Amino acid sequence: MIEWSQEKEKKILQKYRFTLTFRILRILLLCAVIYGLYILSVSIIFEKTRPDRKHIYNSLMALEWQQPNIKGQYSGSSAEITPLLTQKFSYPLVKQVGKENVMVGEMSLDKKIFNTSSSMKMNLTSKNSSSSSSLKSTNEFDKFSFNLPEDPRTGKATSSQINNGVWKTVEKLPEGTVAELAFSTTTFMEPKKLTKMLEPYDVEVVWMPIYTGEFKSFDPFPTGEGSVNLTIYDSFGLSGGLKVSDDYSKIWVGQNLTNGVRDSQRVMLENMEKLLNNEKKSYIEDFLGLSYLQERYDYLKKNGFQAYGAVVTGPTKELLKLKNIEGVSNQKLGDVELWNWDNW
Amino acid sequence: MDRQRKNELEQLYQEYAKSLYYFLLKMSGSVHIAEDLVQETFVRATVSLSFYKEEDVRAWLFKVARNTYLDEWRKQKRRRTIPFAQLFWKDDMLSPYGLPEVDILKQEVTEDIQSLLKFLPENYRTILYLREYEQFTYQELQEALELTEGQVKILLHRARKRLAEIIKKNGGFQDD
Repeated sequence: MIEWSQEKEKKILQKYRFTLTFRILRILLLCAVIYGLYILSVSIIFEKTRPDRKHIYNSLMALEWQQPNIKGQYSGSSAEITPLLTQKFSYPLVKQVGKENVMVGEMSLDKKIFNTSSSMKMNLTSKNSSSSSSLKSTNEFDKFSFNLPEDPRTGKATSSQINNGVWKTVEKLPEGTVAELAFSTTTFMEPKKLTKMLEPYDVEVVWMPIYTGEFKSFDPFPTGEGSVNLTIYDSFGLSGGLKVSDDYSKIWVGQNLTNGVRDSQRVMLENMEKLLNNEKKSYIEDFLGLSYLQERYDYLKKNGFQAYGAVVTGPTKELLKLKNIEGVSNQKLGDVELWNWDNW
Repeated sequence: MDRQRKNELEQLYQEYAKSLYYFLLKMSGSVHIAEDLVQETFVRATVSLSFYKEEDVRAWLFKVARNTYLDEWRKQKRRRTIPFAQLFWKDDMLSPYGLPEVDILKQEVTEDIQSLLKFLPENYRTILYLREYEQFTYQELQEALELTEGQVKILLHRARKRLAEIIKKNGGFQDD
């Protein structure tokens, strides 16, 4: 029927309502299907390529360089990938006290597409500190700091302070306890020489701050500059070192620093070189929080490794003997644990 | 879309459904297609509501209707290239180019101008229909056809002239 009627009007409006609803539902369904396919393909590609392994390894490395006696314990589990391609992962943080590893917190990593918005956050829950901190601002929590033996700008020796309070505390600690102790040295020393100096004692060196050209090659930030001493908070240090397979699927934790200091130095330089050659500056600085890596690498490559302190761990009575070593200053006591009689 | 807005829209559609139906019937030449195109016009108008810029509502709805008709024509043209498609879509639609003028002679002598509009191309047909049957002002024609005032005047003049030629060929309106 050509003529217009109420019936026709009703029919058209009903059809309009139905079509509109149908199209909205169709679009929603299509969006859901596209989203599902997108998530599925992202997950498949992610599982095939596992880009998170590289970020996890690099974060473990950055952590060991910057945090005295704090290591990440990565179990090999996969990161979580979000629809915006952010890779989220976390691993526990441990400290070596005596022969045992003590859990001290958790590292959370958010690797976004853009390095500038990516982050590494440490959440420390140890007895001495309970705080959340990014690796970029390392002085916000109770972290060991070390005094430079001389001002690199003037060559003038800084003051070495003997903190007798620490030795008194260590003295009072009962036998059967183990602890971590950090100290600075009154001169720059080759790491090998430092470990040799500590060889007669039943203590293990777990970390050493290394002079990487601060004030000479670049101005470090932040620093603590008193009238008598000079502290660098974003200092780099030598640990046992980490190695990784080419596809980042296998990580080897480095040897004992006391026995393999030369190996650790070589591995550290190799890792620095690999990072500098393969990663963007924004990745190194903004995500990993490693400042002046190129300058530090160039300095170490040219001048070699010079330590100016150490973090050691062992039985408290053995640590107390270090008080007699000449050249040990600015000592600080860290975590104290009961001696594990089974494994010692 | 809140309920009040939805009701307002439906009232608006009810108000214009009839005139849009006759317009689309004149354009497409088929009752079924005209009905489908009216509801499609409403769907598109609802979806593209965010593009509506305080123009004249009637002109805007006719603009959407015209585009809907042209899109439907293109769709049907594509369908014709598919083998056996005609078995499923039987309704033939009036082309935007109009019927061939040679068919005017086959058309019975008539004094009904509306029945001769189908010999005009779509743009002439649209402007004449909107002006003569829907009483569109020049301003509304500009909005509905997206033309300037000058273009509307020229197009209207040419459409009338062409229609006059068709009437003459058909032999209608002759003084005895």
